[in-house]
Formats: sequence, C-alpha cells, structure tokens
Amino acid sequence: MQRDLVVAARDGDHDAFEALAIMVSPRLYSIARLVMRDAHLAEDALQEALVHAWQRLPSLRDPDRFDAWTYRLLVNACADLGRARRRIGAEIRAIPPLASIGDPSGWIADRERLERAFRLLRPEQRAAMAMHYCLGLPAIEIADTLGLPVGTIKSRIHYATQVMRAALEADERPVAVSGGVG
Amino acid sequence: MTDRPTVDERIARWFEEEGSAEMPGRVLDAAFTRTRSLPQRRPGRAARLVLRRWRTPLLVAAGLVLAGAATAIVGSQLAVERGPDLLTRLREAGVVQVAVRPDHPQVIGANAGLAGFDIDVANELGRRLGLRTDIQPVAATDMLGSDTEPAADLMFPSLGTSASDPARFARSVPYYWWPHYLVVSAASGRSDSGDLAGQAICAVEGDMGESWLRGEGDSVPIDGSVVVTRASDAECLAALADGTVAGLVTAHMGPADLAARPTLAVLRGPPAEPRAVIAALSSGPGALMAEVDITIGELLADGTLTQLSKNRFGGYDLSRSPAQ
Repeated sequence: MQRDLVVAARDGDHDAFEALAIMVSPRLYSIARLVMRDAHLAEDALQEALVHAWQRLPSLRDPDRFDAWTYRLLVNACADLGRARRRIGAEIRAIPPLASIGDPSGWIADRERLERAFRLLRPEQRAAMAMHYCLGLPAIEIADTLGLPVGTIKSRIHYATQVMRAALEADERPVAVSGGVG
Repeated sequence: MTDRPTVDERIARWFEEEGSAEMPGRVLDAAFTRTRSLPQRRPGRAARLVLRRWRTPLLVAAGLVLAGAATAIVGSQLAVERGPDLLTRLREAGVVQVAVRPDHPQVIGANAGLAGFDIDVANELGRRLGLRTDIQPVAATDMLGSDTEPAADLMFPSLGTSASDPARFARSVPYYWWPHYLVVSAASGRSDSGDLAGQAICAVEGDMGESWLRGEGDSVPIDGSVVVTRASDAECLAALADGTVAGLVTAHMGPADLAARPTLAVLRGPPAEPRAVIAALSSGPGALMAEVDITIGELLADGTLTQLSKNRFGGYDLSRSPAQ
C-alpha cells in the first residue's frame, strides 16, 4: 500500500503524499527530537524534511526506499538547522541540578546525566544513536540509509555509547564527585 | 542497588522514553500548507522538454521495430539508445543543471549567497559550452547516493575521484587537486611522519585523511598510531592544542590557512586528492564529458583555472597536479 502511495505522490498527488507523511512523521519526529534536543527545532527540522521530500520525490528511484530516504532528508535537515544555529550562537538552555532527593531508584538522576552526556555529542552522532536505539537499525542499515561508510557509523555509535556510559559510570565510582553543572 | 539495571539497560530506557515524544499536529498542518503551494522538482526538466520533441519520432521508431521484428525487445532498446545524448539535449535546452556542495569549497559570501571555487568553475565551464548554468546546492552524499535520480546534469562533489562509483558515474579529468596535510605543533620538534609512531593522530571523520591514517587503499599506517576522529579541522586543532593528539591530517584547511598558523609544522602527508566533475552514466553523458574534458584542458592551458584557484584559495594554485 505504501508503495502505491509513494508512486502516486511521486506523480504529484498531494493526498497520497499527505497520507505518507502522516504515516512516517511520528518516527521522524522522534528522531528529530533526539537529535535537536529542542521541540521547536525538531518541528522545524521535520517540516523542512517533509517539504524537501515533496519537492524531490520525483527523483526517488525506488519507491520501496521511501522510509530510508526520508530519514536521510531529516538528518540533513537537522544538520542544516544545527549549522544555522551555531552561526547565530550556541544554544543556552538551563538544565536543572541533579536530583538527589525523592529519587530512590536513581532514575531521575540517571536521566539528567544521560541528557547532559547526549548534549555533548555532535548532531550526526546523536542521529546515529537515535536511529540505532529508536528504530532498532544496525550500523550497516544506518550507513546505507545515510549514504555513509559503515565504519563511520560504527565509530559514531561506539564513541557516543562510550560518552553515555561514562556519564553513568562516573557516578558509580566509590568516591562521589559533584557534577558541578547546573 | 544490586538489582539496579545495567548501564546499557539504562541507556536503552532513556532512548525509549526520549524517543516517545508525541508529535504536535501543527507540524503536519504547517508542512502541508507549504507543500500544497510548492511544485515538485522533476529531474532533468530542461532535458525532458527536449525529449518531448523527440517523443513522436521515438515512438514511431519503436513501433516500426515492434511491427517488423521478432526481436522486439532488443529493437526497442536500440531505439532508445539512438535517442539524443545528454549534450545534444542540453544544447537544445540551452541550460545545464549543475549541483555543487553547500559547504567546502563553497562558502557563504558577503551577501549571504553561496560562492566558491566549484561555482566559479561551473559557470566558466557552462559559458564555454554555450550553456546557461542552473546551479543548485546539493549535499555530496545526495549527489553520490543511489536512492535518487541524478541530482543534476553535471555534479561537483568535491571529493576524491574514488568517491564516485565508476559503474554509475562518468568522471572528467581533474580540475583541481586538494591537499591534505599531516600537521604537528612546530614546537614539538617532529619533522617526519615516523616521529608520530605510537601517537594519537586526529582526522576529520569520514574524510580521506582518516582512510589514509587507517592504511586503507595504498596507504601505509604510521606504526602504532591511534586514529582519533573529530567533526572538523577546528576540533582536530583543538585536540592538538590540548595534547589529546600529537598530530592531525587536515580535511578542509588549505595552504593559505596553514600559512596563517606559524605554530604548526607540515610533515609529508597523504597525496593531494584529484577532484573531478561527474555525470550519471544513465543520462548518456559521453559526448558531454568529452567536451568537459576538452574545456577543462583549455581552462588549464589559458590560466583561467589558476586564476580561479588563486581567487578562492588564498593565492594558491591548486589547479595543477602536484607532480607537474
């Protein structure tokens, strides 16, 4: 069914395109939220990706590659927005201090540590992680989707995972040291 | 604490929660408002206009083949192959669509428009071929990607020639050679790549410098060195400055950039990377690429490429092979 919609949309059918967009957008938005770490920027990135998808759809050779192709458009849109923001100035967003009270499982604190660690990653590293964890894609499929060498994707996932692990493990060392952030 | 989830389980949980954000409906509303008012970009629009003129003779030819021969399939393929090649189609349309990267070696100019060496070369090439150039910024990965139709008639991915699949793209002769430098701190006293044995060396992720350091292709890795990747030359320079790495291989820094940094010393690094114009084989580019090769030769011979290079690369001529 999706293939038929892609073929129709490729031929200029707006309704078919919108049906497709409704199908794929929740997943794309999840990735954009993770990569951009900002709801409004994620909305902008998704909107740009959808507009590009509509405009460039006639050049999509294989309708079965629509999903993978939209992921690539989204990641490119995130990168473009990220570059634009860097030109304007670094994002400043307050992160609340580590919660140490009322968090017996430690999950709130974990979340904050992971959030900080994830923000240290570059957008392309975040994108690889988001596709790996949220879409369940192995490195080889992410590489195929983004048109990059598989070694590059493996390297991004490896580095990013190390950063996130380190954020959690640092807190589990015997001598507690304040994060000093907040 | 003993039954606490493992570190990896907690990371997976974080992604599960962070990846479940609900999408506001306004995003789609806004996107659809835009797409409803935007036309789609059809590949090779100008070429199709010309093909429209050829449609009738082609159909007649195919009909004759179908009616007259048992080898109908082979015959119809021959009929398509006898259609106008890309150069003929472009000359009839008067315009060539050109894809250039929106980043290196292009820059955002003073008037916020895209400018750079590839754009200059594309415009000069078009002028000499008697064609108006319609230049579009396209990411290099999209030019070389296999999902889509060719991004343009001629493409300037500004990557090493090995980046484009010869089974899918025709390549011109190189129109410039981009240098990659192995760089160390001048104060380190290192004067040869062998002095970096066992050291960490930075390269920009996915760049040719990374492949060279890893010993891919014909290169030989530096003994015991550890490759550290960063997103940009600037990040590699920062890693060199803070001692994380002992050297780096440049990706987008040209000779003028290095000349402005006397605290750095250049060692013998990877060979300069030849960069070529490409066109999709599926478009029938044989005659066009022959013209492109001849024109690049002319641009080289009359000094135009040298001048364009000096204009864009801080006075340096990168238009000639370092072996020349």
